[in-house]
Amino acid sequence: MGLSGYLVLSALLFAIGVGGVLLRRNVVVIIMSVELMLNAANLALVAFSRYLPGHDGQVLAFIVIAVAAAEAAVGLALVVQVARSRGTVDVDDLTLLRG
Amino acid sequence: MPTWLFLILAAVAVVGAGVVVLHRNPVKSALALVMVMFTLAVLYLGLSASFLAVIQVMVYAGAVMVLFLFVLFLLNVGVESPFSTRIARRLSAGLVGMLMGLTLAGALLVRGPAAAAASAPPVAQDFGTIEAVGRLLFTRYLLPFELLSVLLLVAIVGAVFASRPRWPVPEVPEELWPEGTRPGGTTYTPEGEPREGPRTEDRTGGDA
Repeated sequence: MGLSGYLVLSALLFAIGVGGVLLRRNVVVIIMSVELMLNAANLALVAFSRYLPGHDGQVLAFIVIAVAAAEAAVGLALVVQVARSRGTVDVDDLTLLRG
Repeated sequence: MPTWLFLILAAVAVVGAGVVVLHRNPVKSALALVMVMFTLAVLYLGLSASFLAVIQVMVYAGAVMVLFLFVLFLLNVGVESPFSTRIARRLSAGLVGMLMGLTLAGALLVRGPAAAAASAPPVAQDFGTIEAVGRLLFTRYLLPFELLSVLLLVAIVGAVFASRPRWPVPEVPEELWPEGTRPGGTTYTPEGEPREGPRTEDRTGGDA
């Protein structure tokens, strides 16, 4: 399987993740879609790392995984606090900062 | 990796991603995301990135997804009407998704045929093992690695601080309170919410 197969799959997953971020109302599912996009980018990095070849892409993917884990932890803690204080995790209802 | 295996895994990953975005029940979205993570881990194995495949399963399918499921159970979210009712948001989502997919697919179609025909170059036996990746990680990428540990520490402190229990404060019977310390005007309901009085002084229980 050539490199472009992996890149097409990566692009598809990334586009689906973008659609989820823009379409969904539940904040938790939006964070899941962000994780999906990060994973799509990781797939492209690992594919390039194999076909170049070199380990730099894998190191970068490793860093991305760690950053994604940190992002999920902080983001979900904030979601829990918002749900406690506002009683909802629906982004259409969280309009406090709207101008 | 043979082409048929790649196609099966790619189909599973795309279907799983679609379920993540489209399913009404967030718990099933999370489980579909686990499926996508496992599929990607197998793809990493096919790209001879064995260390990263293990990390993917451990960190994503293990830690991160457990965190997601915990939060979903904690929030007890409903299953109705998953999509935004704002027509502008739905239109922009469709438009942006289609434009992005078309752009990426177009770029790959223009530049792709040569890359599709090219097979993967041969690599050493230890390509993608923990020794090979770790050697690079601790030499050329030592500074980002150390910064990553600082980032994780900050994330831990931030998550603990953001999710610390502020309320209810520990219940102390009224007769045990020392003279003159009773907060004036604040009435504590059985749920522990103050009805009146300054919130900022009382809610942290004096530990701030």
